[in-house]
Amino acid sequence: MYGWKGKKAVVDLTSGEVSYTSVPESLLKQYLGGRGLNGKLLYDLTGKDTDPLGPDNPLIFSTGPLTGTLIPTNGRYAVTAKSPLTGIFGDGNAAGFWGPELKFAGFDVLIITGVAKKPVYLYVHNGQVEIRDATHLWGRDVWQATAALQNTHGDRVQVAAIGQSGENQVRYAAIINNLKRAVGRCGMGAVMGSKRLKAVAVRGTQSVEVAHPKEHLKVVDEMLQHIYSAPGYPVRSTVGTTAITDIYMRNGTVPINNAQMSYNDQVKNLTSDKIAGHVTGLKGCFACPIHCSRFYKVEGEGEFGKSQGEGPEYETIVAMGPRCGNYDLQSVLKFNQVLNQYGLDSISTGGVISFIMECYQRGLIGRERLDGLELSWGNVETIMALVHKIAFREGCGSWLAEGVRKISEDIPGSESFAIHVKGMEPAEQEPRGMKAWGLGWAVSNRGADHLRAFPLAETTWTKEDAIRAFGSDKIVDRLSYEDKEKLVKWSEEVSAVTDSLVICKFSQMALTIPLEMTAQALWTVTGWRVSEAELLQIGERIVNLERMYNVRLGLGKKDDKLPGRYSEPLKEGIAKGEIFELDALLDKYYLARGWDVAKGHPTSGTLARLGLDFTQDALD
Amino acid sequence: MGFIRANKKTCTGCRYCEAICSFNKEARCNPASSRIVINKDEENGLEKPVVCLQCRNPECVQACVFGALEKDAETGVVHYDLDKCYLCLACVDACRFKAIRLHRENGAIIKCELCAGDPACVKYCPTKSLTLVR
Repeated sequence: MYGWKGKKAVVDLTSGEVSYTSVPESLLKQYLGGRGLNGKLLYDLTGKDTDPLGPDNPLIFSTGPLTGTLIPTNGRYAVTAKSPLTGIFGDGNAAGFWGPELKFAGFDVLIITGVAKKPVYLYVHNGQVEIRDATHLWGRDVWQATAALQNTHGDRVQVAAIGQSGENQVRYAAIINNLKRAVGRCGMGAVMGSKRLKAVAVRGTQSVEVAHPKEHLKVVDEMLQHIYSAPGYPVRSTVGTTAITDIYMRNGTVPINNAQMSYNDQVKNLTSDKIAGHVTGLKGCFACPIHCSRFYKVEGEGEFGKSQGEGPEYETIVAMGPRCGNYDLQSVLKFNQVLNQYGLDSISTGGVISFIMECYQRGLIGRERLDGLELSWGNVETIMALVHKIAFREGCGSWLAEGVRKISEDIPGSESFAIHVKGMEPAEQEPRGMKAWGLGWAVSNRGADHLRAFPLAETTWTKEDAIRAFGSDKIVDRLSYEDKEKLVKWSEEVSAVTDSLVICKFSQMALTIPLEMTAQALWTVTGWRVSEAELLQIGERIVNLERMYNVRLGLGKKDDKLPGRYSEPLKEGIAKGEIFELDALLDKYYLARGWDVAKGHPTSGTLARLGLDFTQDALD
Repeated sequence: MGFIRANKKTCTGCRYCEAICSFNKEARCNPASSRIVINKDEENGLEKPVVCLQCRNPECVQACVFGALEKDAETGVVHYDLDKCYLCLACVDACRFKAIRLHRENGAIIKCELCAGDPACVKYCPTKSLTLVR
């Protein structure tokens, strides 16, 4: 097989045994790799009763067919397990250098099951996986653990580690590689912690071979040309996602004070130019020409005066900033660093803290349940104290580590502003002012999430683009509901393909690499002839399989919903007066998908068409 | 012919140079066989590109007692001849820049020989942090 190493390791941490097999090419052709392949493996390996934090929940790390090649932005990998935050399908992915290194170390896939008796890490090196003692690393943060493993295995080792949050099984703990790239969502770090697995260190000197080297270089040149000349490139390659703060501020779609407001002048303190003032250099992931990341360093005084690291990304800026009523730049830069060190998902962390702050604002909860802390909006000392408590599960932190859904169950009257879907806290979009994103949150199979659909076309395409692709210019009117179900369906398919190849959505979607070009790239690497339509069908298969995973757990239409907050009209900004009406879109979306409108389940015919007959049992 | 100069301030550390170098030499991707290496200090956000400077008085050439390394008088490029090499690694020890290395898969010494004057790494560097100085 070209593009692949043809090797999968299954590690049982309970028995200490490692076995090596291959992944059948037929399976790869159906699911590509990364997220898609992991979804199929998870479907087969878990069931209704699998405890997300128990020994039977597998933690699956996968590369994709393009990982470790010359295709731009191929530095990603996907991690999948049943989510301890939501109890349903869970996954995350990250870029950096870990994914390609796994290939160079001789592996396509690692499946980790069981629970180790004492803390361990995996050392993956040129076709071998060793389970090694990690007693000396337990209790250390991500940066300390990574440095220690580089000390042991050399600077070129790539480390994916958990911090104290993962060890303490905070339900939204992340796995962090290269010190700051987060497999952030769905609590994959908590699953890793439940296995007493501190880190996976990979290092390899093997090659990735491609099927058609000459044509490979040719398609790489075409993709690079496309990326460099894309209209979005100048911004993406200089300030990255911090530009979104500027755009959302203009659009009145910044979720402020737990989405009670959507516009505030003070957000100006956090715009891209303010972040840029502390940037020392641009950073890129493996084989990435976009280098959207930035390194920053602040050398001041006091608790928040000194910080350094990469980022912060838009989601972290707003999650730890305006969402919590905080407009202090220095603190946001510090939170970014600390969350990476503790290994916490910034989106869920900001979601939890802002939610509990609103409960406090409304008098639904007092200081006595919050270790005496004063939870006024923007109180950065309190926010930092809560971050510590959550990571270490100290005092009220142990409760807050359970996520918004669980906390809300303990606070009567908080349901309408407990902002989560299926137990996951959403990212920093505002559905009332961007309708496609609202639908994307509601139907996402890993819970509220911006990256499952990632319907960027709504705010970035021209009318001409929209008419060409969907026959409607309403697609690019962010306040219109018209045809948004089509946009979300198509975007979910493209996202699934992108997450499975595994490449970056910034090249494939934000800078709009044509799918035919991606199909050509896949051919040059693997030799598989796949059309654009076939790629989209693979994406559709992946979305439907993930849906069936949740259907098997009893989920359906009743769970595809947004909290009451989004039925309250926006009070300020240029989207003032807008609400989000899911009913305007949900049934249309089900119909577009070929799903049962009453249940929100795929129909038997849809499953048969997509080669998912093995999931038919889960339909009533 | 010159040498490759790397600007570590504008280097983003993406290692595209490593990928393209190995591909250009061996038609497959493997940073371990790249002639250019980006060393990183991620905690401090520093990139340290390492590539042969084709020194005026190359310590690697002086260290090689088998004549496997030779500086071309005309082009200035230091060339390696596998047939004459005994893999004693004296050159690896001698280079103060660590720009000459052992290729673990092939059992050969690897170093930058400037791709006959048209280095792939220079062509593909996204931030033009690599330049061929003539």
